[in-house]
This record gives sequence, structure tokens and C-alpha cells, in this order.
Amino acid sequence: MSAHIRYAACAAAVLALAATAALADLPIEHAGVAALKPDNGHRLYIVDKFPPAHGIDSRVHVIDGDTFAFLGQLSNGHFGSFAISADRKTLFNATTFFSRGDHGARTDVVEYYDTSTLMPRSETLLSGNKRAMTNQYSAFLVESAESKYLLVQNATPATSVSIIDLSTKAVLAEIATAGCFGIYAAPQVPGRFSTLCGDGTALTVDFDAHGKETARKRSAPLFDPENDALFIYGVKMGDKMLFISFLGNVHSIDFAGEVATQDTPWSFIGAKEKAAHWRPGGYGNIAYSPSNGQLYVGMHPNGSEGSHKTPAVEIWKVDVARHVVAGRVKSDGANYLQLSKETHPLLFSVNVKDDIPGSVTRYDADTLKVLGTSKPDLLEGGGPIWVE
Amino acid sequence: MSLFDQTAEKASRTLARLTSRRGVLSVLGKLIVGGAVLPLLPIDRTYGRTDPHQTDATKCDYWKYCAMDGQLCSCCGGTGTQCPPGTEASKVSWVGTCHNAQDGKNYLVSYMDCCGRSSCGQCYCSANVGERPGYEMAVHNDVNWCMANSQASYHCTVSVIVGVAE
Repeated sequence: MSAHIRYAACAAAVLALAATAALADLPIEHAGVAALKPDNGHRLYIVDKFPPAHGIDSRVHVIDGDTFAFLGQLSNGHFGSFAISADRKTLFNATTFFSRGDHGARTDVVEYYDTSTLMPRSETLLSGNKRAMTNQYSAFLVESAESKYLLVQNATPATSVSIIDLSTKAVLAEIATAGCFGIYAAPQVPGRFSTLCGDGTALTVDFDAHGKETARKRSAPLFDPENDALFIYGVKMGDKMLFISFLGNVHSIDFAGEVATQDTPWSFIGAKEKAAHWRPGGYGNIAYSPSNGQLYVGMHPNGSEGSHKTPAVEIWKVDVARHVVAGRVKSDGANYLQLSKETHPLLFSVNVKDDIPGSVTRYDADTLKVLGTSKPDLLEGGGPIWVE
Repeated sequence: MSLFDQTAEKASRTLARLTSRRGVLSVLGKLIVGGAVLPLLPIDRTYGRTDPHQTDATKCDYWKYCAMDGQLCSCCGGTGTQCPPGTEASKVSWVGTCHNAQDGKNYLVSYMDCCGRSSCGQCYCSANVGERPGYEMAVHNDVNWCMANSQASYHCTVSVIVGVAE
């Protein structure tokens, strides 16, 4: 046998072996349920913004903030509100469902999901068809101090707050808050919340263990709703909350006592930027990090009456202690901002533009360097974001 | 239209006609305290810049949409003032004051949501002139103004002139 014939025979044998191996059966598979990736502090919860996306079946997407991979999902119903418990174990999901999809009997409910499994554990039915169906801000579903109560915003459009005892999941009472909107829990007193009112004051309400109102006191005027209204969402800064006005004034409001008070409002917008009409805008476009003392604000130039929902052209980092802008970065339409809770925090923005249905950008919150951006259509409608 | 609806619509038109924007707010606020009464809903895209000359109700910059935030019913089988078939008009609504360049007048405009079907998904517009957060509910457009209807799902939004602003 010549050398080349021996070589050909050897090659044929190898091919035969390979063919035999290729024909071996694949292992039997079993369908199951993947475990949720453990929370590393960069887990994002992002809700579909409505409109335009998902009217009756709005979703809370659970997303890995490091890779922008989808990890899971739960339904946020129709104009739902969402919040996360202080111990990070429970997702509060207050929403509305209809028995025939978009019509039929209405059910208002608060569902309690386990953050480790994304399974609902229990629920509280809300009677009276009163739950506020609204674009959601953090002020509409709020856990009280000591995690004792869950406070739910109602609007029929008459406004009130329902009080749920979190130990029993029972609705204790409903407290009327006519002419006021938003819920801001007192930082130390479980039976106390405040709400912002149309005359520029805050109303503070005390209630007992049965949910019965025991006191209500109105503050001095805090803001001018006509000429420089406050956005409804505030962010916690210690025991106070920071709010921003349509013109860019920062209000530090203290809801701890029986009557709300505030420090002297201040502006971070310099003369040059003011002349260019830079203003805050978007839906949930401020965030504050206690780690670095910086307030992050979505801003747009050429602002005017009615421009207050304009997605950000830039994100500004504001040093709260010094009242100055400490950094600026361009933005592709940030509509919502949120920070991780670590020493050197990450800033996440949910962005919406004509060519961006919903993307997420991750920044180094200290340097404002972009660390990563998702594909532009990661979300069908970029909405509110939580980082845990 | 039910007696309640007729009463509510008449009340809102009368209020809008007879009062300033601030007056509308104060009176509506008192009515709202008493329970569900008047109508409207919410959402985006000209961000404060409608065109007083625009007369096309399928365009976001249509003059009457200065305080609009929602999906245009004119793109969803209805018109600028009429809800699409199969839906119902909201019983409560929000208001805006818009300038019409054709006659040089300012008009009080009521924005009413059309209810009972899921999101139309077309022509989402947001202008928000005069819009304020929910502590001024009568000029707030981030809530679902179908809230007081028996069929409370949001489909789209129409706008109707309710009077000349003083």
C-alpha cells in the first residue's frame, strides 16, 4: 500500500468515526424555571410608559443594569404604580385590571411580589374604583416610616389616600386630601404623611393605628403653583426631600413634623444658562445620591411655558452643599433618572426620542462618563426606573 | 348621554365660559371635593410649542392642542371633537387656554378622553401649556380622565371649545 493510499484510508476511517459521533443522541432536556439572578445592587425595574406603549398591560421589566439583559417581568396593569419595600424583599404593585381586557368589571388591587422569585405572594383589593390611574411618579405609592403602612394615592378626581396595614394587608381607612396630590411619608413617624396642595402649601396628616385621622395641619406657602410650580416627585435627602421647580429652583422640604417647613429655595442655573432658558424637564428627571451629595437633573434649553415634560438634552450634576453645577453631560432624551446606592454610585437614565422608543444609559455618577448604553429599542416605551 | 353626563358637561361649559383660568380652577376644585364630576386625560410631543395657525386636527401642533397630552382621536377613527366608534367620552376632563390665530382670540378648551378600549397607539402628542401637577387637578393631564367612567380604560383624547377666555 502506497503512502498516499494509506493516508486516504486513514482519513476515511476518521470521517467514519466523526459521522458516528455526529449521529449520537443529544441528551434529554427538561423544561424548568430559571432562578432569578441574585440582586447585586444594579438590578433595574423599568415600567412601560403609557401612552403610547401598552395601555392595559403595562409591564415592569426586570433588567440587569450591567448588561441590559432582561431578567424577568410582571404586569403593571392599567396606569399602575410601583414601589419597592425598604427591606428590598417586596415589590408593591398597585394597579387596575378589567375583566374583559380593556372593558368589563374594574378591579383595583395592590399586589405584593417577592423580589427573589418575582412571584406574587398576596394582595389587597381596593374598593370604590378610586385608585389614581396616572402616569406614575414615586409619590403615588409610598411605604411609611418603619414599613408599617402602605399609602395609596386615590383620584376620582376627588383626591384621597388609602392606608394599608402592611402587617395584615388590610385597608384601614381612606383620608380625604381635597385639592392636594402626592404622598410624602414622614421620615420617623409611621402614622404621618404630607401632600402638596394647589395653593402652594403642604398638608400634613396624622393618623392612628386604626387609620383614623387625628390631626391635619397646613404649612405656610412653599411654592408658587402658577408661576413656578413644583414637579410632583421628590427625592430623599436624609430626613428631608428635594423638589425642583419648573424654572429650576430647588426646594428642600422637611416633612418630619406636624407642619411641613422648607429651607430657602435656591437655583443652580447661572446667568448665561438662564438667558438660554435652560429648564428642568421630563417625567422623573431628578435623582440624589447621599454618597456624593449630588443632585442629578434632566435639563433642556429654550424652555418655555409647557416645556416641562421635555426629555433631557443634558443631565446636570448639582452640588447641593455649594448650590453649583458640578458637571454636565449630553443626553439622548433622558426622561427618568435613578442612582445605585453604592459609595461610588452609578447613574441610570431611561431615554426617549423620536428615534429611541426606550433605551437605558449607565453613567459613572461621579465623573458622568458613559459606561454603557442599551440598544435604542430595548423598551417599547421608556418609563419610570428603580435601581436595587 | 346620561342625565349626569349632560349635567356635568353643561356645568363645565358654563364654568369655562364665565370664569378666568384661575376661576375655573377654584370652582372646579370645589366641585371635585364633592366627588367625581367633570372630565379629561394625559401625555406628549410638541412640548409647549403648538401653532396658533395650524388647523389640521391630526397634527400635534394643531392650535387647540396647546395643553394636550394624549393620543389624538382624529388618528383613531374619531375626529378632533368626536370619540371613535365603540368608545365613550369621559365624564370628567382637564382644561387649557389656547390662542387661535384665525380670529385672534383665546379659547378655553376642554380635553376629554375617550374610554372603554385599550390604547389607540396613534399620534401621541404632548404640549402642556398651562399644565400643572395633580395638585391643580383641573389643569393636570397625567391622569387617566376616564377615571370616573364605568368603562375606565384610556383610548384617545379629543378637544372641544367650551368658551372664549377673558
